[in-house]
Amino acid sequence: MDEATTILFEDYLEGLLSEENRLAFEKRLEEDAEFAANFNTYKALSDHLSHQFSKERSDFKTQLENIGSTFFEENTSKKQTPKVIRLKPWHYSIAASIALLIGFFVIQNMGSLDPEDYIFSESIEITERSQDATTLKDAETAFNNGAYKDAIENFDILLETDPENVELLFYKAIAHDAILEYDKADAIYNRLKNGSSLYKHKAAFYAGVSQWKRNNALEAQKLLETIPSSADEYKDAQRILKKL
Amino acid sequence: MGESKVHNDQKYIDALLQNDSMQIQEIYSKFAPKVIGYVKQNSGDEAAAKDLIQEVLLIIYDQAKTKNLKLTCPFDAYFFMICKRKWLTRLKKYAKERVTNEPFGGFESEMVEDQVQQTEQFDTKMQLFKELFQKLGDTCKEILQLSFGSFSMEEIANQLNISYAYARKKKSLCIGQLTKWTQESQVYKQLKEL
Repeated sequence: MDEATTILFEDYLEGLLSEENRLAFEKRLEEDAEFAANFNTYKALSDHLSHQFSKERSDFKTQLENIGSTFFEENTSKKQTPKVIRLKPWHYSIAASIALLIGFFVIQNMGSLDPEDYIFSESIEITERSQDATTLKDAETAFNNGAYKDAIENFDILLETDPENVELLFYKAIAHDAILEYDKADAIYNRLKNGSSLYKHKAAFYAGVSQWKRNNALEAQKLLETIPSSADEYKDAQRILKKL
Repeated sequence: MGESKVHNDQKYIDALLQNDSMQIQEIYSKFAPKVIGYVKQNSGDEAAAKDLIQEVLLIIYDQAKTKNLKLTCPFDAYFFMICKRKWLTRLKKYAKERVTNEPFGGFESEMVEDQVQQTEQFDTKMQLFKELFQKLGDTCKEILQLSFGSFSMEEIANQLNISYAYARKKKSLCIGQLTKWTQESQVYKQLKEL
């Protein structure tokens, strides 16, 4: 492609060609495949640069960065909001003893394992039975988006007609667990754990992780010890048990 | 594909196009947690997830703006799948770390797969254009950046102390150079075949 052709492309794109030259240009586009290919690439690049350096894009990018930063700051601060407690003198001796105890546990638990690593975080796809497909989809989407309250509402609707559906029950327990409604989560975990469904060991495992998350090491241990070597969760359970 | 029905979630694409801050916040609160969870599970941290999400939303915006992207599948699946695949590619490329989930599998449906692949091809082309732009000389970069920004060719000529005619000619020659490199690129040839 020579210089004259690139200049012609630019003139055409900027609308600087005379009517006659424009028509000749467009005719050549139709007839000369190489010319058309060159022009299409030239135009694609021109469009790309025009968008890339536009003020509109730069404004959008700035706004996106601001919203993103705010979202992540809020998310992090939610997790890390420090609780300020005023101490009375006699509290210090208790604090010192607790510090010693914590020190002991920290040394015992130097490994990097954390309940967060085992919390249920997969996307779910619920097996469709003869149920209300829309509610099912809503439940699934809400769950996958982390909108657990919505998910629970939809699970409840589905469970009304299918109260023994262990899959729904299991996800409902996970949802309660995620929004810290531990009583409700535990009730379902227990029911599944004591049953004989496919979710028996899965429920015991996540109930254990949940207890661990709540710092109830003993409870967690009891639950995780029930998982047999044949279960998918066995290896992870053993790893956590070692840590505990 | 052109005949597929536009999904209701097109509203999120429109929100990006309109730079609607409320709706963009909603996109973050609804769809970011899953991506953050995934990145954290696969050798990343929140900072990496933040960059990834931003990058992907920008690609979607670019595609919507320049290619009139119409969503034919749920935004959730589409957005998560692009983030996931981009993250896996990054892991493979830079860290060579083991990834817990199997790479590149698990599309929810053909509809999602098509849509994700279109965005990925668009992204590949954008990356190629950006790389080639970086290969240009400083004068070319400056002229293109200014002329496609908010400066007129006269202003650019003044600023760079060159004649108006030369500025215009230089601009088209710079794009001409990019055109040549683009057409020679294997990546571009492959994209054209798709």
